[in-house]
Amino acid sequence: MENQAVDAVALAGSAVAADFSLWGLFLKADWLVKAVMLVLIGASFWCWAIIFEKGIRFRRLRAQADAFEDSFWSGGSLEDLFDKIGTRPDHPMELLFVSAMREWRRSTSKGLSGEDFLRAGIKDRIVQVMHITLTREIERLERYMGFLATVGSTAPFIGLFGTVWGIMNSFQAIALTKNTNLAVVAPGIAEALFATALGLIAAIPAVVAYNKFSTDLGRYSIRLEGFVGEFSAILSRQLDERQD
Amino acid sequence: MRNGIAISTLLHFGVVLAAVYGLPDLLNPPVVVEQPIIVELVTIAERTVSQKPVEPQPKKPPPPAPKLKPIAAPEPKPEPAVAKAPPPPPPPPEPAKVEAPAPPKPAPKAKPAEVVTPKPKPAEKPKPKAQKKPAPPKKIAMAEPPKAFRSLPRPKQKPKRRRPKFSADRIAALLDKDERKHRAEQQTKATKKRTAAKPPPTSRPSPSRVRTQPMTMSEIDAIRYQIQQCWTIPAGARDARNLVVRIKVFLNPDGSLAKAPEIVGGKQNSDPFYRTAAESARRAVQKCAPLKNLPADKYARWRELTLTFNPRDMLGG
Repeated sequence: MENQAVDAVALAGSAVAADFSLWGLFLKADWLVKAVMLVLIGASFWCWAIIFEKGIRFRRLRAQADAFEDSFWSGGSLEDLFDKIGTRPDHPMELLFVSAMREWRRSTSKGLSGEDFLRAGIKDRIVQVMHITLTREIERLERYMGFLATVGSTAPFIGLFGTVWGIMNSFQAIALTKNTNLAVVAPGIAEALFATALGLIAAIPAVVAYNKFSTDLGRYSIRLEGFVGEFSAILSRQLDERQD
Repeated sequence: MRNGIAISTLLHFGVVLAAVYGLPDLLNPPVVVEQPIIVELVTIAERTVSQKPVEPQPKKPPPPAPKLKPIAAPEPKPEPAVAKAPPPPPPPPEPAKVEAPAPPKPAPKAKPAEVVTPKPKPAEKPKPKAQKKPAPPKKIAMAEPPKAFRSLPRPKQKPKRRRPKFSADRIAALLDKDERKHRAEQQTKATKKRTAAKPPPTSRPSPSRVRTQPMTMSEIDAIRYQIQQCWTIPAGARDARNLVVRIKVFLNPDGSLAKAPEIVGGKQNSDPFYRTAAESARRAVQKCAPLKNLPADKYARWRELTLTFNPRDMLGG
């Protein structure tokens, strides 16, 4: 007990001279605080991976959607466009188009567009296929967004837990040394606060990115739904024209 | 996803690398730590009781009247006689009346003085000489040696005529000083926690004067300063500047503690801050345990010391 106290005093004395760089703070921390910091660093790493991934993805999606809408509304034949895209669509809007066109072709090639009630069935099926594709694509885009939201809301608490633990250690140091000198507590509190800092570092980008990507995603899904509506309207008009 | 992971890895690797190489210090210039130059400042009380004025008084009286004068010697008594003499014209009653009111604190000494002073004229001469070191009192003694006893009342009766040579105001001022001195002496005694009755007999008539000399303020201050060096004021105490703690210290001749110091004062249980401060002061005494630079010849004086710790002195406010 006494030796421990002496050690604590010696540590406190050496801590005054020690460096307060981030690395120094990390090395000095208690093992549990270290674990908390590592968890937070891991969370921050994964968050940034998602942020970069999503940022690049959404930018590319927007560009691809613009390009596709240009060619779609250019007045060219939809059959030609479908043939050009072929069987390998590389973004959700193309995928919607391809799935609808495939359904359309399958239905018309079998001569199902002759009767009225069959025509209504084709329309329903096309709209349904497009909606299923839409939800599947949106679901794919939403992947990892939940992680961002979780990190954004829990990382500060995890950091806070590390801080509370570190401060508990500092106060135990006071109790051991029976010295209320601030120098005994200050290093411990500094390293403990570093855990909260890491938590905030992980959480802030996560929250910002989550908000940005969820609005981006909302906007994109509205765009896709608009395309679904327009395209189904075009196809149903075609069906009616063909019957006439 | 691979792109995102790669970029994130690069980013975090960079940040951790920056942290290893001292991130906050890279951006800020290193703090220049100023080397403190340690200067010891001993705070001395407003007045210091010097030893020398005390010594001559007991020494000079012995030749004329061995037993009576040492008692009469105390500074304040004769000078009050000079200052307050004017009202009572008859010489014999004067000293009795004057001396009785003048030294209110040492009552026992005043009474023997009354008995002695009226008649023996030589007894009064030594007093002014011994006590009045400054110029004016000497003039009295030298100018009027033959008149001796009666010479004293006259100047007081005609103070305005003789002002140039010998002004009552100046004597009054002197007297005032001596009274203050006397008070300061008594305060030091009080702080040393000696009963008021003890010091006068030991200090004045005893043959071994050196041994029992009162400690000077600067000596007490030196002790208190040593202990204050070790004292850590409990930080954050409410009303810290009023936490005056008094500690009674028992010392061995070598400066070590004879027994555990005691906290003097009644309110230690009521106020937790006071209790903390008192405990810390006591710890400070124990930490500084062998006190240095104690005057060995005055051990009787510092065997028991009551030290007053005032955070105000230490907080510099």
